[in-house]
Amino acid sequence: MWFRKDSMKPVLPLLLLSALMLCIGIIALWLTNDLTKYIHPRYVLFTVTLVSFGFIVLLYDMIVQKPIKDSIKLSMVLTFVFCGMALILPPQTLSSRAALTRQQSSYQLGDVSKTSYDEFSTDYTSFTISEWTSLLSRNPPVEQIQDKKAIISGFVFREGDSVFIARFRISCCSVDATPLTIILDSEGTAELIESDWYEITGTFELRNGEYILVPDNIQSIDTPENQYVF
Amino acid sequence: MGRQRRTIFIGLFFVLSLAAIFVRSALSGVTFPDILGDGLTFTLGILYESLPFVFLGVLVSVLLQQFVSQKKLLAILPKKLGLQRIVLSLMGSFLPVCECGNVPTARGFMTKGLLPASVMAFLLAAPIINPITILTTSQAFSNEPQIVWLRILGAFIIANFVGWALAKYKQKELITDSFAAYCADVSSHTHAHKRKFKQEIKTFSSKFTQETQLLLPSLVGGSVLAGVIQTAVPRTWLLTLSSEPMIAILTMMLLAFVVSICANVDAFFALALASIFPTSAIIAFLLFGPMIDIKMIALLRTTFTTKAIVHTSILVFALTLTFALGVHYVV
Repeated sequence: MWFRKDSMKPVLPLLLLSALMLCIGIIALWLTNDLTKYIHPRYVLFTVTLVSFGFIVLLYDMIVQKPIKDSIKLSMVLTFVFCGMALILPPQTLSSRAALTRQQSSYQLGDVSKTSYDEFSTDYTSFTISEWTSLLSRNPPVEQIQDKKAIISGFVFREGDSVFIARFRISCCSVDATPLTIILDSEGTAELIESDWYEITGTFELRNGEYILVPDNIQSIDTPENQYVF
Repeated sequence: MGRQRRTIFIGLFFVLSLAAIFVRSALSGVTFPDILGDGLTFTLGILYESLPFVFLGVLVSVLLQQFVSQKKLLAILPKKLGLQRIVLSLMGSFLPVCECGNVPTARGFMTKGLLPASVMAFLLAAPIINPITILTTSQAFSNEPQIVWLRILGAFIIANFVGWALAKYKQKELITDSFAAYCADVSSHTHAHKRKFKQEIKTFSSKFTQETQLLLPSLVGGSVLAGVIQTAVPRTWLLTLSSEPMIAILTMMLLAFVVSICANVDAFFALALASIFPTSAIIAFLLFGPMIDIKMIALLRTTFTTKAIVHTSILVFALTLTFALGVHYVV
């Protein structure tokens, strides 16, 4: 319907449709609580507001303006195809492969807003992986944590002979995701399946200058709806 | 008849979009091979994070074009180009739209007669010298306040130096022919009389759509490229290069270029690396990334010539490296 009869050049507004598809995709992700698989929750309101505004303006323009006759370029087609794919493909979270390729030194990360021991709760069982990695990065004295029970949930990945439990932390969006990792005792963890989620209860032991989590109990859990730590 | 067909087409588009969302729900249990899934997640993370900022920048740009006269804008800015660049480099304080949104805002400035060299000073400084970035940097580095000040100082010096250097060129050589034609078109259609509200809305939506369509391929292309590199290049390779100061600085600049993370949160990302890399390398990351990264280059290409982008990139690279080395050996 939007072809010029004389030259048969299509004038579909591919880029406008691409922008609309992106907006619809983002709003749909928000409605299904999947938007935080890509961006930090603090940006959700801002994102949805601006994207909704953009969607309304673009749709209004498509309705009231006459389509601009223009030849199709490869960049338009590729953009259109990509935005269409983004609309159809289900949201994914990062894999254990990403954890392996992004892992920095253990215990270098964590909840960096906490700056002193005093800020940590005395109830260590409520600590998340974020708080544990933050505490361990400060090289606490052994006596502070050796008898403390830790209950940590995350996915498992392996690097060589080492087994880790991890969760990704995001500051802005998925591209800056960095794994928070804790080394597990290799005994009793041989049967753990990589990329599967577990809740591990155990205590920490200092071995060769590194804190290792020795599991007392390992429970397989469902993949949580929100797999990231923010 | 044309309008009726358009309405049918739009209806069809929405039906197909809804169908696509149902297909997505049906495929929700499907997982892709790790490398493909990770690449998509990185790419879409960048894209979904950037798009609202692009819309915000386009909004600012269109409002500038439509409602701020050239006379008024030039009246509030200093006449002397050097002072004008200084004021523009500090304008991010009032227009904190992130580097993605700064490109359409910069386009808006140029349609009002500001020189590309002066606007480049704005483009380079605004992502860093704005309240949000300053606040998040101070939060992340609360124990090292000197990082905040060094970041602001470095951005100010680099942005103004690059603006000064680019002012030596013929300004027409810095922008693409298509954008120059667009600027000429905008100024020839500037109306002295007041338009009706409905006409203003139509003009606004038309400009908004045009700018969005222009930027979208670059935004998508830049996001895909950054996502692919993030997937293909293990970050662990880069992190082994932290021993020598020069190598550490270059490594962090490369990481900043590749990661393409927004300036208003990159401080938290950099903080996680602060125990591995020296302060000078962290400063280099915090300066280089907001000015030049994969996504930004793709967006700049919509407006500036390849020559302008290459020369700007080289200057920013050299100045950032010099500043970081200065921090290492002097501070």
